[in-house]
Amino acid sequence: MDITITQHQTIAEVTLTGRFDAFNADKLREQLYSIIDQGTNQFVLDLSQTPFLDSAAMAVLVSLLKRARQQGGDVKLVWPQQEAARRILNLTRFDRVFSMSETATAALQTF
Amino acid sequence: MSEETTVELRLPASRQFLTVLSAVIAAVMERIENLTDRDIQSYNVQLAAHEICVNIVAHAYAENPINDIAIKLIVNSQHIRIEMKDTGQPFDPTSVPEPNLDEAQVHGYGLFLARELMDTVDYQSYSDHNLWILAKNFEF
Repeated sequence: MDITITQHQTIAEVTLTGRFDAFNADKLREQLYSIIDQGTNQFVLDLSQTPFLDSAAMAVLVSLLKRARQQGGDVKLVWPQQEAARRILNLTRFDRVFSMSETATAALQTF
Repeated sequence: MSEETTVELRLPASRQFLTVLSAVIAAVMERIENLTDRDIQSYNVQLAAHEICVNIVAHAYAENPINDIAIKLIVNSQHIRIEMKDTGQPFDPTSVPEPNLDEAQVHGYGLFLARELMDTVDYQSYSDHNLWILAKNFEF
């Protein structure tokens, strides 16, 4: 999985490309936590190019959300393009826990 | 593919090789004719099997990659059954509570997903091995 981070003033836009699963989840979690430690607490996680998500990936999303909110921030998600991956976010009701957008641009505008 | 066929894998118990299992499941399901929403059904079976494998890696073998997971995919034109065998620590599936979907939580989605995405998920611990059996009737 490739990770691209774009800082928009107070918001970190994190674009993930590729499979997001138990193999790379811990590494991403550490990267995201370091961003919080540096003072950013608003995130857009762009999952549009993530064709596969598992429970380890979801654990990272929830961990980040809790930590960001503890610091007064939030985490917004961009829907995966793949219908199968979107359905998993529906199944686990992540679409009710997280603010979801179709694009990163739209997600950034919700802050 | 009208007769039952078995594909066998032996994977190192490492997160690094989980993609191999997904690729094999995808390839097997690609040859099933007339599936409704093929990509979704294939993804769901891949994810269910993946979650159980992660469980084996993390709990049965405590992340020690020296061990391996013996996997059988038994498939015909109507149905797939995936057997995953390990020789590690037994697991108690009843010890994992269903996640509270009204409140995001860090743990607990893996087994939930496997159970939601497959028709049946069974686990049995024997004296010298443990066996997961996942089964799904295809949708046409």
